[in-house]
Amino acid sequence: MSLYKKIFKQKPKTKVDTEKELTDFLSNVYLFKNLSNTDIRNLQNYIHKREYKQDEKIFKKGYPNIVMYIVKEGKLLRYLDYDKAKEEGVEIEAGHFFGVIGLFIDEKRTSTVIATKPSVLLAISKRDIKNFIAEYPKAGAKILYKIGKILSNDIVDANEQIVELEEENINLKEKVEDIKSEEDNG
Amino acid sequence: MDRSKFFRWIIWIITFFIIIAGVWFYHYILLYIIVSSIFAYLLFPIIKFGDRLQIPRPISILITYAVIIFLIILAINVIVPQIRQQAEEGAKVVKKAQTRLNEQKEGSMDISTALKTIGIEEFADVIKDMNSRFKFIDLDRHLNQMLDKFINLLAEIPQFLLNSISSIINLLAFIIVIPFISFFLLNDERKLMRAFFSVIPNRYFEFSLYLFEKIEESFGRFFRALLLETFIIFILAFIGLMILNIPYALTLSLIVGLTNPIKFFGPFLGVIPIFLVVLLGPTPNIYLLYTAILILIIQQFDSNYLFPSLIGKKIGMHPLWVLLTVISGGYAFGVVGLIFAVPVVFLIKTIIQVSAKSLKEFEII
Repeated sequence: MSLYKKIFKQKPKTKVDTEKELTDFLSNVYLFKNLSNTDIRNLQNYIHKREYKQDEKIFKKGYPNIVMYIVKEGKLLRYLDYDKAKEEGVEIEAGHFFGVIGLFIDEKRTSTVIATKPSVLLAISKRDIKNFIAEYPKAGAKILYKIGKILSNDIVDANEQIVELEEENINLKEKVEDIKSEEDNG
Repeated sequence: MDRSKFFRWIIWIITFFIIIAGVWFYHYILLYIIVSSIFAYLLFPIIKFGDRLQIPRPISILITYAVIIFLIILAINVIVPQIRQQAEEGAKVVKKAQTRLNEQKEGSMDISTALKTIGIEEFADVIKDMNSRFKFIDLDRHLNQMLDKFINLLAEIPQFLLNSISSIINLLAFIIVIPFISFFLLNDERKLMRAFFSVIPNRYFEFSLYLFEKIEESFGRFFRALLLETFIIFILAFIGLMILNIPYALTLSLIVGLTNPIKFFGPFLGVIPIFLVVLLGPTPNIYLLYTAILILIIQQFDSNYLFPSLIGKKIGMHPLWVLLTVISGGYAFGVVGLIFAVPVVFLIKTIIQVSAKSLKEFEII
């Protein structure tokens, strides 16, 4: 009787980690590395722990962007355009975070994220982070500085990629021109 | 319909009935929960401020309670004697009018002299004038009947107060329990939130968080705005009545402030005591007009500037709808219904609107 099992069979309990363990984990996350233990314990009050099964969708492109996640355990893939083609997703591993853009602009989700392994995520809503920053401005400034640093690095990377792609583009154009002129001549 | 879907429906229906049964079972304390939630909600900004100063929650809650108790005691010692004095004087005036009217009744039945005795001379003259012009109406008899009813009503007031003693005791119990519940709500607010969201399935997690935040936002804004609005109207009415030099300004403006949240009827209810004071007291009757203008100005300011700017937007309900809501609230729940019908309907409307929108955004429907 599958229904019976569904209702009454207890789920195999995953390791219930204590608040202490969570504090240790958070203080090792890059984003919160230079926060004091008190700050981290305060931050912990705002964190929702979520467990995801393999292949479970965290969110889809186009959903309202109101929660950011930190990966505690597991592995996830981020797809910029999940529905269209079989693109290769970008991996997100333990210690990383995603969904941070929503903190700053009212964009919808720009990608779809799916768990590829059973994962434990720590979720903080956009509003709670804002509240936390307002309540503990010092700790908030540290977090914001870190986020700024990460996003700046992303921009530098993206710029480098743009330069590379532009060079490639120019090369390709030249090749096309060459081929065209060869065809005209021939 | 396949089997698992069918069973899921059955489970949904059973869950629904269990929730209904639970609500029915706990409905006596539901009011306690609601009121303490509102109380806790109003105190929340103060507790948050305490958090920022690194004060542990239990201590900042207790400090807040102590301050509130201090303020209440202060109010009882400073404001209440004043109000009581004013109320007593008011009662004396009414009593005097009553006895005079009774004396009058035993003698002649002339209504205009009766009115004169309670100090509404100009009105009495008008009636005398009308009486002589429209003899066929028999105004005297009608007005006498009205007067009889009015006197009976006055006589019932002490009995009414006696009857409410038991409800006053209930109210006291209520007042004592509320801070206890609020204490735990404030102290464990985060834990309760996390516990609540931890049981929600992943598919609905973001949606429910979103919904909760949106609803809480409009709920909080609405209640704080209502409270601030009442206070500002009270202050404005007080200043206005002081300028007009109306007696018992404090009590009267308190009534104006407290009746103000009742849409449409509130201002009328609030102005009645002022009119009575002007009519029965030494103030010239032309002040009826002045006070009416004062209240009108305050109302216009409130509905056009104060309320919209406090709540951030217009209430978005058609005036007719607001009117009918107030009337229905009054029929169903009495005075409480009059006050809370529009806010509650507004909140439910907001919840439905926000849910519909976010259900679509999260592709749940």
